[in-house]
Amino acid sequence: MLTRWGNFYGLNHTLPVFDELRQQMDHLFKDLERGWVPTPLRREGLQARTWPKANLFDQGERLLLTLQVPGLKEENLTIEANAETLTVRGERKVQAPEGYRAHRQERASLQFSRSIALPVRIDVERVAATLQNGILSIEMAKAQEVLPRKIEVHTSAK
Amino acid sequence: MSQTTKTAQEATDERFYATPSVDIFENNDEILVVAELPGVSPEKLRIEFHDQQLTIEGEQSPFDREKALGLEFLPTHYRRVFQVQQRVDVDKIAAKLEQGVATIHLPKAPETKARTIEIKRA
Repeated sequence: MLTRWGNFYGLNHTLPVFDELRQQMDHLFKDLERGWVPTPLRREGLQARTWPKANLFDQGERLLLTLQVPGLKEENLTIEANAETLTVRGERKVQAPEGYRAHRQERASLQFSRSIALPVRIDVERVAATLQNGILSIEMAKAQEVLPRKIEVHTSAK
Repeated sequence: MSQTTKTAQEATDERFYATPSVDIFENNDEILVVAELPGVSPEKLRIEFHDQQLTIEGEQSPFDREKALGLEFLPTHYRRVFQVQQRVDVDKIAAKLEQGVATIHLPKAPETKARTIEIKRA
């Protein structure tokens, strides 16, 4: 499933609820102008089915994607990058320990594949991932062609 | 109305409050609690047992939201409290945090363990 990015939380909010609604409407109209099919509104709590939850940041020369993957180890994760899309696949098995009876089981075994459409092209040779405290961080260098180019001004020779 | 007010407060608080997903298991010797707390470092995890109440609380490291292009989770404050029925050997409670998952062992106090009683032949 390909997911498009939007601003799900107001970054500058005096009345967050309305800000968010306004932003969502703005995005919806922008999408319609561009001819994109609108994706359902995403809000924490309303759509618990998206797993893993992800954040995307612009760090200037890089994009940073962070995903919540509690219980997954390096060997359970696969990351695939192409210039415009990043795909993360993984599997987690949750089992009741042997000899124990379960009172409550809210954590589930799961298998996922999540593809994220990136807002700019990236250099697939310069993608690095780290896993810490159940958060997978993927740093992607933006492609040279999308970085702002510095143009040197030469003084004309006399 | 009160619901709207609550949401607004939580949002302006810059933190997001969440209930971690938890598994609870039990055998003859202990109660085992497994809680999902992605993004919480060991220093930011607090596990407390007091008055037969187990409290799990953890805070995700903050991040700079200004640079976000898309957010599906905010710096989260996890909290969950359980009332424990059985007597627990408080001094022997042990916990570890791995891949954002906390495993908490609550050993049962010796007097509450089920005992198999041998029947002696007369």
